[in-house]
Amino acid sequence: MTGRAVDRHGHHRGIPGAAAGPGVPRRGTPAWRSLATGARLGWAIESNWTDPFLFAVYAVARPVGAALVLVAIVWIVGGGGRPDYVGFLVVGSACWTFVGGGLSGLVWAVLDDRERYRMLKYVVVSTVALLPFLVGRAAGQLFTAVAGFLITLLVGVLFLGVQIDLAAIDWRLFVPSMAVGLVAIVALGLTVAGLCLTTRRESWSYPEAIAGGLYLLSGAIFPPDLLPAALQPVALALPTTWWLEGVRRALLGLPTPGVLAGFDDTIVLIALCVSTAVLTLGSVAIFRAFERVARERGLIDQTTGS
Amino acid sequence: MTPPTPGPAIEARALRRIYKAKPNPVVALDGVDLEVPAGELFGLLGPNGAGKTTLIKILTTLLLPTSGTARVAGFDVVTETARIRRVMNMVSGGEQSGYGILTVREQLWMFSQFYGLGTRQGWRRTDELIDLVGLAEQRLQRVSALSTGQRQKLNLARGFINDPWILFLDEPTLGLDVSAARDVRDHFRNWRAAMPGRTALLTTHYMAEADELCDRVAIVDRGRILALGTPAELKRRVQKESLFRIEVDRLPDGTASLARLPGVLSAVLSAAGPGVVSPDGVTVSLALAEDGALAGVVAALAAAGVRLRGLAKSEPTLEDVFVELVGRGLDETDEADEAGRPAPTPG
Amino acid sequence: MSSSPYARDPAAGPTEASAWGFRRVLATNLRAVTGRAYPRVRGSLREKSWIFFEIALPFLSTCAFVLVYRALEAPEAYIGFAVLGGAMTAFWLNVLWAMGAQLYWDRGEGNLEIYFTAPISMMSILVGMAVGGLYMTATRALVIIAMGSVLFDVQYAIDQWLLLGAVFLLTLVALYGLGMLMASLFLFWGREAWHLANLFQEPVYFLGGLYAPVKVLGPLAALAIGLLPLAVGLDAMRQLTFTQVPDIGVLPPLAEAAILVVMAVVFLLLARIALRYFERRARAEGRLMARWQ
Repeated sequence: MTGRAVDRHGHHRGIPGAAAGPGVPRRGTPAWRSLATGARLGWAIESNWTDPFLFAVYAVARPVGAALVLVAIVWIVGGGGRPDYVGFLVVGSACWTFVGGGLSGLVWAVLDDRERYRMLKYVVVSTVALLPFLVGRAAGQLFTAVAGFLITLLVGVLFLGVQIDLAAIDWRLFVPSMAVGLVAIVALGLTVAGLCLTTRRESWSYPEAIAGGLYLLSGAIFPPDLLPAALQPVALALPTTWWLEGVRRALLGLPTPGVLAGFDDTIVLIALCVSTAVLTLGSVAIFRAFERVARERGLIDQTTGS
Repeated sequence: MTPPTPGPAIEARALRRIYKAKPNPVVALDGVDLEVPAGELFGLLGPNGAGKTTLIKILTTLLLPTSGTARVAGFDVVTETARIRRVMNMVSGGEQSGYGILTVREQLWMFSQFYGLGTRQGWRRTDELIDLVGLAEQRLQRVSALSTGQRQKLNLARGFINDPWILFLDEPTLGLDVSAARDVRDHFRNWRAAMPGRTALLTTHYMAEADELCDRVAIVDRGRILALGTPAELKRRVQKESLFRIEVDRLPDGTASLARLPGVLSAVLSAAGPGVVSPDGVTVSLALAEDGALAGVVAALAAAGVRLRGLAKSEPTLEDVFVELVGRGLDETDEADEAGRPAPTPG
Repeated sequence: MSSSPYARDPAAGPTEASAWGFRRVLATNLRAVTGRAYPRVRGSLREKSWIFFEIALPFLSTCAFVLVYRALEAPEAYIGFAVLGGAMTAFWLNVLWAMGAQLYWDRGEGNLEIYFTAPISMMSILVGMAVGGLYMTATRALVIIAMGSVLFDVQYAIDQWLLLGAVFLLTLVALYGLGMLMASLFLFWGREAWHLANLFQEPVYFLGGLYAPVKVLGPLAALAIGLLPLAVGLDAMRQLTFTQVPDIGVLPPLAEAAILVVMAVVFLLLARIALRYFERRARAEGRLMARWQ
């Protein structure tokens, strides 16, 4: 095209993304921008359904309710004589809001965008990178989970006798544990989201089911030692186990009794990083594989309800 | 409850529907009066946002009017919905309803159950309708795998599943290719021919479709009916004369000789157009007071030794009618609506 | 009868065609139940990933609670309580999501318009959804009970099988009546109702006694028994299933069965009223067609 100024990237000025002509490749949307777009969209969807007060109640009440179920079990059934276990339970329950939020956010992003909003096909055919877009889409739920996490801990400290001393928190353990743990959760969510590209709409319940399975295996509400011997190696292979252990040690100052107590903080972090890295690489590969299957079978724009 | 007296199949009196939209409420229907006798295929023609779909939603009992009354098969759309739902059905264009995981046959059978057909009767009827609409090869295909045209055929079959007395068609050929759209229109024609006494109300913004199918047409814009009549009557509103284009080998006395003939309103030379046989001939556009005046013109030309090479009649289309009416309607509306209106919604 | 392929059974006119008697109305609604259940059953037979996600993983979740009780050295009967509660969770989730939220999904897909223009009651559609979902739900419940009982060596002592069966059925009827009531809220409020259901899922686990007998809640037990069919039903079922464990119920099973009867009637009546009321309001406000509410 003549008469148009072309910048050094081969783009026409005033026409974002336009190429100078055939042979000059048009760039895709950078991953960070895809993620940011997805995040803005996800937050807009998450937060627009009601007034702020009710939204706050929703963000808080569910995780607190889950924690209360467990604490009631400990107090009422266990006779209330296990204050250390209450702390274990509350921290595990608080952290579990991220698992539910992360998994649900990614899976529901796929299912909502495909079945309700019918937008998934437009996202796929655009230059936006699908994987970071979906991660961003889930960010709204993860952000909501932060509030749930903090409120659950607060309720535990104020009303349930949980001993968390702000001055004594091991931030050097807490921050990397939490950061890497969230990566693991997102990676897990991506795996399930990839699967859901090929399944029907009823798979919206899969995140909850998987969270329930991990609940058993990750030491969320009891030490992994209580698992049958055959399942203990599985527990130790999961990044969520090491994530919970790292966060508990950082907040409560005590390791989980049993097999986990035999590992020092450094080993816990290394185990978390290695298992997360394996999971992340695997989940990206699995997501790509399912994405390919979905395209081959023409499932990107299917509607499946029953 | 006493049975209603026989009357129009569809009736609306001073029907209004206002949506509470932000920033301003939207008046989707603004005092619509309508009567459709039994056995008629009635068309509602108008642009997007005119109020066609809103009217259909009210008549199919999905939406309540803000004021006014509407009756379908003599039953009130607000208070006698059960009676209406037993004798009517609805087919919308671009519809994606149903369950993608079912096959065509299963989907249709499921709908048959919603209308109370027996299990075997439902399967029989399903198979009949699948053959009727031309989906025999897709019978066992999942609904999610159908093309747009095939999906619309399935919707059409669903519309006939309960043998409705009144069928509402909301832009049924929307998004279909020429061939698929023609198939859909053929099915309506066949249905009407096979089932006299059945009524249909069709909304469309395809003028040619309304012209082809409808007994009468109402032109709607901004919630009001601007004109109502048969397609021929509506066209005569904008063109009262009969227009012809004739091509002759010569015209020795010019167009003035033709203009003086009885029944000829005007005769002007025009550029060659479709139907002109030879570029060497002379083409004249004639406006006649009535079709019968043409015989006099032909006789006069023959008497003058002029050879007639081509003859074509030109008629206004409903599009011409619409442009003329909506143009007038738009001006009147703009004068009254000083605050300006937001774009009307589901219309 | 006309031989035209378009005709089914032409009456003299629409007035005659619309004059249905009670039997025809009932038959149509019963057929609608079958029709609506059909895609759900077919779908679960066609795509079987739910076997892992809806059965195997929730079973692990139940096991988690069992192991918590083991960690607390709770009485062995609590293991059985957790297994039974885990099984009943399946029905609660089916009511909440497969029934309540389904209308929210159906509206988004344009199916709601078809239901409302058909000559059937929305209750038939909801019952059809429930019946269709029962295949998956019952399978999940059975697997949890069977595998949980074998794995954790749960000891049952059932004396009154008939009463147990009756209580179970009454619990389902009352629960699904509650589900229909919730569906009417979803119909009108859409996403807000969806989030509220999400919100109450955990508290109902708590108040419903899904993992511990309601009696341990003290004063809250009365509230639970008064409001939640799940709490009442589970309490009665535990008493009837673990007769070897004394004094675990709030009220005698027969009394709780009577409460369930009342609940079933009340919830079904309220559901009918609410569905009609919210349908009318939704029609007035154009919410039957609002897809992204």
